[in-house]
Amino acid sequence: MLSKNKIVLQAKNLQVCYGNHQVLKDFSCDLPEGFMIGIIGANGSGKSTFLKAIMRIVPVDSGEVLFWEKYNLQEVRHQIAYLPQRNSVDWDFPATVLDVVLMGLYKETGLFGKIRPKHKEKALFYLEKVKMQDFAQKHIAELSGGQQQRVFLARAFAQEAQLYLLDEPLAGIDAVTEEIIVENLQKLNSEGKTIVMVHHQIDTISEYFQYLLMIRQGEVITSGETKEVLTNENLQQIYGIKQAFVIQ
Amino acid sequence: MQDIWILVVVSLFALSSSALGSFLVVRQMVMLTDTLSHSILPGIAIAYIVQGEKNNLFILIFALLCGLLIVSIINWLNSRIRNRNDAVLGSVYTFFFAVGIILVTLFGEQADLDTDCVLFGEMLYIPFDTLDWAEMPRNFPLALVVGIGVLFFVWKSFRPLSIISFDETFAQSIGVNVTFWNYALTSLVTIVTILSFEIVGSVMVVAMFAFPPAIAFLLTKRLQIMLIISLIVSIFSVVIGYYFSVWQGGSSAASIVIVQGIFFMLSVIFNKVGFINKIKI
Repeated sequence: MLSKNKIVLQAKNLQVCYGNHQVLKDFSCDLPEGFMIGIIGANGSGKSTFLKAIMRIVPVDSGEVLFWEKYNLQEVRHQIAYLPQRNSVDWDFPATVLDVVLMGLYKETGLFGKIRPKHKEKALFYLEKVKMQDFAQKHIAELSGGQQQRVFLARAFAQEAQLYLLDEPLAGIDAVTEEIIVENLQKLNSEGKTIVMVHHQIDTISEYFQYLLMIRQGEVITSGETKEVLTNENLQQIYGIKQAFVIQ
Repeated sequence: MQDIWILVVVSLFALSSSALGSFLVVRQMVMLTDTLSHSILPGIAIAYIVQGEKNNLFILIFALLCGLLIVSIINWLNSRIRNRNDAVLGSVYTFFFAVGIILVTLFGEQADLDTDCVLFGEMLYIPFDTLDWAEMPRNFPLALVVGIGVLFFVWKSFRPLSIISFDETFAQSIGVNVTFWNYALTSLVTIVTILSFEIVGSVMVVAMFAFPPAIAFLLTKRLQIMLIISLIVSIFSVVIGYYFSVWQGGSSAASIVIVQGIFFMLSVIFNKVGFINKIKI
């Protein structure tokens, strides 16, 4: 097991462009292992693109990403679970809840392997964690937004990774679902896993995260432990507004 | 025996197209087959110009090359212009069709294009166009190899194809080579489209890819079951449609499409009133 405070993810001078628009500009950061890490910034600041660039889902024009200080993505891909935004898929797709979670078990089943009863049991175990076991045979189109998010999370849990990259897992869900998700993430974190999560709700930042990466217009404004960097000045800077926030 | 040969050959192509069509339908890409069936015209025209006479094998090779080029262009454009697949297909379709028209207009003296054949194919000629070395239709070995090949591909590649079809971003994150699988799927679609084109025509080739999977999509909530239903529907519609055409004396390809259309409407109507939804599959 890697020790706490080792660097789990190191981005060096990342540049990502969508056409002529530069989304990440000379983006560098070191994220420590074993923390709940929040990525915060205004809409369009490059938070999701940063996660996609890490996973090479979008082409990176230049720069480098290292995991655990020396490995590239190919070497540690199986140690990383990525959770895309819920609206990135077609929820009318012909699949049951169980089918979706089974996708996360590719490490065990292989891409061409057969799904066996033990795999289904494991998928059900992760569905139970997010309180969705009773929905296992339901068509995914029958789920509410919060339930869909929980299914996605169960799929990410099924990957049994060391590092979890989550793109807005708490967006557009009710309070109960948020509580279930956060509880599970905090439990994973207490087991030594690193959670890196794009987050939008300012009022819960200090409650959920021990470490923050603050972004504005594709650049890192600051990063550090929440108690040190969560200041009105930094929030004003990343959101580009003049009013001060009240930080509890 | 003639009826049996027609049914066997058309059913084999129907199986191939409905198996691949299932992935096209869930990915909302089924009009790719329409684009392919029309935009291979430059390939056919160039084959005529180069060869100077009608040579089926030569035309087939040129049409395939043209189809694969078109698929590459579509895949490339889709990677550059995200979420505008319909615009990409419409643009590529009309551009290549226009190039084909110009080639046919310029060198049209050598062309022997029969509009009826292009629209509805030459299904009834299947038993009469036999191999030199065996008493079987020329299209049968090809249909058999393609049918077995496609079904084997879909069976072995079901998981990566289904993961990519549902969530391409997740597939990329776990290291699935999305580009490879997209090319593999679309290349097979190209091959089946072009091979089916001669037999069933440009209208039915789209219907064979679209209708059985669309019907199956309405009947089940699982992709595996959807594939199986799609294969069964494709065979049923070929058999019923063919014998309907024999009975009423019209076009076989058109009759098969009509049967598929009726099946589709029935699934939409009964699915809407919740009848099919109650069936546990």
